[in-house]
Amino acid sequence: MIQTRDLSKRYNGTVALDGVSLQVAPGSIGLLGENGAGKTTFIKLLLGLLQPSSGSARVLSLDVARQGRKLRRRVGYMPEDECLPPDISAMEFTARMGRLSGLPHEAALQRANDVLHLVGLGEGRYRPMGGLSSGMKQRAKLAQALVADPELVLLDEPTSGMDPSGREEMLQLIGEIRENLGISLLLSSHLLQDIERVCDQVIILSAGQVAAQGPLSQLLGQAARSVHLRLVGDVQAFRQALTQAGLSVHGSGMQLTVEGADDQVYDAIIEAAAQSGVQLRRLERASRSLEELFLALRKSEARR
Amino acid sequence: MSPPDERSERAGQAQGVIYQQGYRHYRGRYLGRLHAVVSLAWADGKRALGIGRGWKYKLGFFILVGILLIIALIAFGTNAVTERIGAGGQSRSFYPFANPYNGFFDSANGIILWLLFALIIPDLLCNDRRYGTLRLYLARPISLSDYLAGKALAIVGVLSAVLLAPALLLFLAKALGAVQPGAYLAAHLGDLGALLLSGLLFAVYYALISGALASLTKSTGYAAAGIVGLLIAARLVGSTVLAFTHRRMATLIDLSQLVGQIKSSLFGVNQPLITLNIQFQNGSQPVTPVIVQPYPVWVYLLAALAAVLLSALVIGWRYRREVDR
Repeated sequence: MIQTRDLSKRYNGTVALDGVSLQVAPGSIGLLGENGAGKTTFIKLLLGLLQPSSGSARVLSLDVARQGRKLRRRVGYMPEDECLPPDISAMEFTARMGRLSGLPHEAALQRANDVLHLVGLGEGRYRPMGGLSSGMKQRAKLAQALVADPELVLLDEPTSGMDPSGREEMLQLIGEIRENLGISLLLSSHLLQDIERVCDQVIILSAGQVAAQGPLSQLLGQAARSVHLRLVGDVQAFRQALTQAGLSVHGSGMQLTVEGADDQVYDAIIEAAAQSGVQLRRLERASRSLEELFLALRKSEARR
Repeated sequence: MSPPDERSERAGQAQGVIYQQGYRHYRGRYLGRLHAVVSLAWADGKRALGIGRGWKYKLGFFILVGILLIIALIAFGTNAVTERIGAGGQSRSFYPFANPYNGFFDSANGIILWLLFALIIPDLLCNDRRYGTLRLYLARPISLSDYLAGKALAIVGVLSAVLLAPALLLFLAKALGAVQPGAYLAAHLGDLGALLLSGLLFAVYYALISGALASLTKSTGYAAAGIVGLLIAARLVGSTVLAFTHRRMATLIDLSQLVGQIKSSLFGVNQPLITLNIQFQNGSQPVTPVIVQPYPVWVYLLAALAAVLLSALVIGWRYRREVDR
């Protein structure tokens, strides 16, 4: 769905994006990075709103530099900042955005009505947007991104400025857009929990470069470093057998954690269980949280 | 109870349409760029005319348009009087007011038109940048040129309407008030053509100049003040230089003179510049009227074209800068 090759963008000598090469399949993609990491520039390049300084990018098999208009017919965009005119109703504005995307007049009205109900703004759709709460404004921004039935939506910090319950609802809504409507999404955020909650793939940008990229489960799995166990039986003997095999074991009672997560560790656990006669009730590879992974990447970045 | 045949016949007829609310994928066709440009122009045109706006804007707009209509009625009345006393025929080629259509755009109602430009143009150009909506527009399948074309279409359309509607009303009133309306229409077809052309010319000219000023700021207030301020300052400076030098070069300073002279030429009227002879010699200040002949019309055409091109360049530069940020 998204392919970039050596994609770079410089503004008056400042490098915003530096040689980004990646390939991403359809799905829900998280774009993670600190403020100034190049996330918004990356999104603008993917929309064809900015011309790359060098390199190339294709989205939905369309060249962003040369086929920007065609591309934007199939892609929706929800920006981070304020962008809604205060004296127009969400209904009128969303319908207008639909017409600008090529929807005929009647279809634009019908779809504006539908998407505003979808995002939970059905009741307030005729109110001027200046009087909406920040959560409702975020919903209106999402509605205009969906009105022309895109194949991909680019969401730039969609939970920005929302209270915890509003944020929870927005994340749920975004999850439904992917799961129920089949629309791919690229969610840019500096909030790790948002990405972890909604996305199945992740791109981590740091100082304009790709620090890590791939399926979320794979990235977190690679970073796994221990195995959690729940046991029934002679735990002491089991623990001793593992220590003799050279493994580090923590925990107490029936729940233990064994350091390491490669095949040799699993073999040693099974052998120790057989020797000591314990029952293994649960064996789970402990994965890192995205936050731990992000911090590890930052540390290694700082060391370089 | 209806017989079964009748009921089945009724059931076959469309009794209404049931819409199911909720998201569905769109299976219809998408229209092209022209549709998008016209949609944008239509939405902005309605906005400029006050449709769906707050009472403050509506009040301002309708007061100014009302004054223009009153001026049209006054022009109709005074012209009827000048024709009755025989002044119109003698001075038609010289005095601009003898032809009510020629004098219509830049006489008493000139300042009202400037206020209308200051009301409409900043509202359509500044707010999209002020509220960040421009970014959303450009995330649609349109280019910056399409966006600006939509804006230009809306502004020129609305300005043409507010410029031409009172003038056409005046023309209609004079035609219907004539002894032989058909003969009047035939005799003044040239005036009608000149009226339409000059209305369009004024709309394009002022739309671009005011648009260039509005593109320099995101504040509608500053833009409105800038538009009225520039036009008044250009007129004051032009008039002052003319009063002191008596040189027609001064007419090129006054932005409204450039387009005013082209319009007079469309009506076939020579519009000389009447100024005062101000001299400061030996403490005496004799003040006498002086008539300055303008340049040939092509000079004003070139100057107006230069002003329009410069304005278009400023608009393009400012918007390109906004997009690249």
